[in-house]
Amino acid sequence: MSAPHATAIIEGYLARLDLGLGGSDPQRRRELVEDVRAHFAEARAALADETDADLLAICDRLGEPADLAREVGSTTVVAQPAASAPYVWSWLEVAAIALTVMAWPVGAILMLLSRVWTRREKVIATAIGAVTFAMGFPLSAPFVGPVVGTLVPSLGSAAPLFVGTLGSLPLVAAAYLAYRLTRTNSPRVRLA
Amino acid sequence: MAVDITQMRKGLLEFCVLAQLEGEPRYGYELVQRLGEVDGMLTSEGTIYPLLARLHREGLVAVERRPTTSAGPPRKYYRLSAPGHRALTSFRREWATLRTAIDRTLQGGAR
Repeated sequence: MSAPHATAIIEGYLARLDLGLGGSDPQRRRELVEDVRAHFAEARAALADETDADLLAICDRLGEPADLAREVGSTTVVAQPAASAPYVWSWLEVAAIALTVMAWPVGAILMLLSRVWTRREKVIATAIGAVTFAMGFPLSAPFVGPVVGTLVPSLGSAAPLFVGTLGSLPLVAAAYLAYRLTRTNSPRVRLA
Repeated sequence: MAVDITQMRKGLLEFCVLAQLEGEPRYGYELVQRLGEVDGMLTSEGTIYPLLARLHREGLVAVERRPTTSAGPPRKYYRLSAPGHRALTSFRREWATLRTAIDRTLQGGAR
């Protein structure tokens, strides 16, 4: 026979557990609640004639629901330390990419302000942009920068290729940033 | 210091669970009972479930559902996988070395 307050005790425990799992992955949340529900069923089946005290003792041995919920949280953190602050990209990142092509120093500053890209990604994009900028692109592209200006006549037939390659570097930097942006917004945000 | 011991116990519990699954598949409540027989192994029984879920995610154990003899819902059985076997073997080796080293160090400190 069921204890007088069996439903209240068990469902109360499971509800507190579910509440504690509020921020976790829905599948993990469901799974843990089901596992603990099965635990209750097994433990109750072993009792000859259950009382409220027996059920409270089962709850006591299981531990505080909040502590169990924290276990799920802690395993998440251990499994994926980078997922601590999910951040979704905004207009700042869009502007940073666009201005990397059109006005590199402004684009680079916006990129450095963003929290989406990692330090490594920022260094790579800044290096690509800085090389181009030092050579006179892209801000002064219509006038051909001082370095390129002196180099082009001596390059002869290779000049268009050289200028073309150099001119496309901001596009490469922007494409790299955009690619990393899509990478940043998929696996890292998801819980392990 | 009590917190550190809890952390240490938690880390070791993982391998104790794997060891319990070595011979045959077992279900969660069965594991709780077996580990509960060892004094100080399970401070709270509920911690076993998030741990089993993590071992499953990491591929160290496999899960299969088997019907129970009674009318209840099917039980979730955990079985040691090949990576689980390897992890356990490797831990046993490490543990033997570590245990000897720690025993020696602790005895040395008492002298």
